[in-house]
Amino acid sequence: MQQPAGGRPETGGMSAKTASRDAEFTAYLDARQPQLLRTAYLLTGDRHQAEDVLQTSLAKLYLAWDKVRDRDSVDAYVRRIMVNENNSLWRRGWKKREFATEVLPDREFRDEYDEGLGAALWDVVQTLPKKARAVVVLRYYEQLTEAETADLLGISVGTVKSQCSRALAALRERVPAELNPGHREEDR
Amino acid sequence: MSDPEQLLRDALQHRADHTTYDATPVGEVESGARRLRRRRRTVGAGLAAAAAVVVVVVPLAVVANRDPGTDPAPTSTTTPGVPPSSSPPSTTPEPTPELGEPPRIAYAEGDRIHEPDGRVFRLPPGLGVSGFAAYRGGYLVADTRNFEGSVGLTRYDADGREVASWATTGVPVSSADGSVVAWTSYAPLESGITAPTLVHLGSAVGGGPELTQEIDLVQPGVVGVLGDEVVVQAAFAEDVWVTDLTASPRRIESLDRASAVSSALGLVAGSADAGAVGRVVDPATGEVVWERQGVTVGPFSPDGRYAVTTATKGGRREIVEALTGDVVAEVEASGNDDFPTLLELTWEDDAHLLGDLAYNCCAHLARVSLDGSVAPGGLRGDIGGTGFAFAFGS
Repeated sequence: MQQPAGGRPETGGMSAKTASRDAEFTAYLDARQPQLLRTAYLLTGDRHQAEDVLQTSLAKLYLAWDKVRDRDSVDAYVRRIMVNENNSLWRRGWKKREFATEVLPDREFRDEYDEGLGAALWDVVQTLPKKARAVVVLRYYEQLTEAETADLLGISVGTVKSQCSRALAALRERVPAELNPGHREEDR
Repeated sequence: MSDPEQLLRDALQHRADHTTYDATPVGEVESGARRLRRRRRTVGAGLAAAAAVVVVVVPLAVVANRDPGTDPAPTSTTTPGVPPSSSPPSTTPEPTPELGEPPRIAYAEGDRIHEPDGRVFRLPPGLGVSGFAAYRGGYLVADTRNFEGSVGLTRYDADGREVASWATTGVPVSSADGSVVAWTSYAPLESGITAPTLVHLGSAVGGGPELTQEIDLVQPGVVGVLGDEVVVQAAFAEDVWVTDLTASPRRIESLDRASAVSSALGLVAGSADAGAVGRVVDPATGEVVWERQGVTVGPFSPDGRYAVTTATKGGRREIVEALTGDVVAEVEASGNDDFPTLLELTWEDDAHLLGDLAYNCCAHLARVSLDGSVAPGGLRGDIGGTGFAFAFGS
């Protein structure tokens, strides 16, 4: 991961309270941004969109920093903003960045050990509706509980359960049969 | 976690870990925040004025007593342009052997609310429905939009016209007899709007005041209605409160989270010990009626005789005696064994539940009986769709 360039500009005359607040926010950013970027990437499916979604989310967090009283809940708060930002992208007529390159984008992450199943699953995840995809990412990647996922998304636990069930059924339907673990087990 | 779930998790982790990212320096975050603050000040002035109409005017229309008919109808801001729900009543769909009897309660799918008598209420497209309640001839509808950590809640009149709209957490909840509905409203933190967070309780059948009470909780959601009291759950906190919207809310100390209420029994279900224990408690005293490790409890049957428990690991569901927690039946697991089948359950009547059931290819609505057997529930949905929503009652 590229190291962040530059730092904050010198701000002489800052109050002690503001300095303490900014130091606390910076410490949070340094500690959690790498993980949040990964979550944002899984939500959006695009590295650049993920960076932009997270940047906007962190800006909103910065503005609300003093109001988030429970510091243990900051991650949950940011995840919620990220989900909402991702859901709102279409409203801004989001334009994908264009990068001139003579090298094909490394879209595939074929790992010799996963026999292509990981790539196939990822391809299907990208076709899920945004809400279902958010549930899948939060449950299976972030490993939030059903209750935590429901709280974060503002939906019922039952909806979380049904979304996960439907998503898994969709994966089962669309992943090529030869990649199905059960199918491969039968061949042995 | 089952094998397919573990495969999915591994695939997501592998993808996320092997992608390179450009982290945002804190200076750029702060610059972005300053731009956002300037934009909000421009937009927020207009929104604040609109919010004030909704939030301030409603409390002014409230009186402390609850005699119906002593107050004028709540002030509303009608939004023209929404077509009325002029769909003619359709005949109740004929049951088919493979689908079974259709639901005997109202349900929502897509942008339509279907009543058991065949009436269809058409909503503006694209908003989705996460929950709804019949209200004063029309509906209160929580949608599936997520704006700044909330969902939208809209009141529609009997002609399908939007009366008012605001932000809420969760869904509107009816009392067991459908006579009153409770919901919350608040200004999301990120909106920049300053407005109180309110709990609302209104007569669903028309007439009478809407009661409101300001409540100092972050993004509260209504769990249920117990008589003339509302059970409220705070987000991001282990806080469960009961309020009659006149006196100060009181906390239910024996619960961290609430999941359901039974107005027939006057009991509240929820969890404690960071979700490790499912409990049923008396909200008046905090007394624990019963508890069980490793389950969540709810919902209760309308007559208060039964409840549903769901194992926090594995998702196994059981129907239990509501007052003791004794197991009556285990809900059948069905569908493809490679993928766990999970049901979202709502009581259809005192002896049946309805829930989403996903097979390999399809999604159905299923009907669960008290012996735990599962049968088709009369509706087929789209795999990957948003499923069915029901009116949420206590």
